[in-house]
Amino acid sequence: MSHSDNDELIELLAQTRLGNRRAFSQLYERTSAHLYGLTLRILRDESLAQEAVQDAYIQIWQKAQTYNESRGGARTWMGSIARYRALDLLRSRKRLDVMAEPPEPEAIDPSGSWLDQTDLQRCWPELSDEQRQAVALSFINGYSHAELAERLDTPLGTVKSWVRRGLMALKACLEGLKA
Amino acid sequence: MTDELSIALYVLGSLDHAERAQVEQLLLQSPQARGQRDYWERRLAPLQNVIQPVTPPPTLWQHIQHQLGIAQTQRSPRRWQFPGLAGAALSALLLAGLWMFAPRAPDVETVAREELAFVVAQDTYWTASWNPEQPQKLRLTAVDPSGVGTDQDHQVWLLRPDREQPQAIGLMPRQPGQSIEVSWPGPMDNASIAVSREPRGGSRGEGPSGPVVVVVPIQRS
Repeated sequence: MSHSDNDELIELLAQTRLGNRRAFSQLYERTSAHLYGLTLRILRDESLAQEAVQDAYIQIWQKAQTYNESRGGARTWMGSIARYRALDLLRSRKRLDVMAEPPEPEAIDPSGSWLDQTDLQRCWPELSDEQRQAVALSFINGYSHAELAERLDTPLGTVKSWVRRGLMALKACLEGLKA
Repeated sequence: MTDELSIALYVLGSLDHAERAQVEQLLLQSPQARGQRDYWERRLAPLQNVIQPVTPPPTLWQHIQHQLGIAQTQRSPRRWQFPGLAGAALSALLLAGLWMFAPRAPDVETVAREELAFVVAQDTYWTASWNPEQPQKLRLTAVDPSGVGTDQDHQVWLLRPDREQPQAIGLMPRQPGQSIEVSWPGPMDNASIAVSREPRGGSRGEGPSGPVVVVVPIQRS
């Protein structure tokens, strides 16, 4: 996300906070494909993904004043709202029959080149291949530990360990960058 | 599991329904927990970029507007319109220097409908309209001026591209249902009308002395 993109989205959020419908419409135009992509990936169901996006924008309209930059860029903040709503729907419905779907290709480029020159990319090599795979699939697909274990055909305890150790390694590295 | 790990797993998306609810309760109660959530949201945000955007169906936006009760209606084509919000905000910023004071961000909105513009400012609203046969007359009607203080008036100004100073048009009526007709040059390209909150009787100066509550650009539709 470029600075100008973020600045413009923040301005649209500020106008949305004031009840500016045109700004809200522009915000939707600029971000809805991102949010829909996120929710569709987690829910694998167009109707549910649209429900999650709809709920997300209602929250955004109602809670635009709660955005602050400590939560990251505006697009990230909106994406988080949509992800959480998708995860709530997913968990409350026990993932429906998602697990029965044929598995899709899930290989994650281990180089982390897609992380786009961020601190996360700089720290990505600190994780083992298994940790990277577990962290990325959890975030991107919203897999619980049990689902991840099934997907990766790996014992639950091992998968939990990958995720937790991966997060700890990330945090240690990120803190090191900050120092 | 420590709270911090729970929060990291919450952001990651690994928790089950009950665990997510527990963390959300914690987030409500603990600023420290919210700080940790913010930390992980920021740090893991680049993972959002992996996912390709997918354009949602057009009906989704309609559903959102409907649920929020903000759907806009435009019943028929019109020659002139007040396009409203984003333009209003932009104009307010651009005009800040011209108006010699810092206008507040407009907490207002307009909904164009046929030849009418609904001018809404906080808890008050009026309509502004003109008859294409008599474009030099602008009719201002108070629909619900209940939010206007007894010691206040709302003054209407024309911002013309060919003049540096705003041109006073008149005062908004104060009684519900009351209309007045004021003279104005008629709709023109690159012009706006603005409303400022003033002491009773209007601004004592050449331009607005109180906050601008709305700036509505006018353009040919």
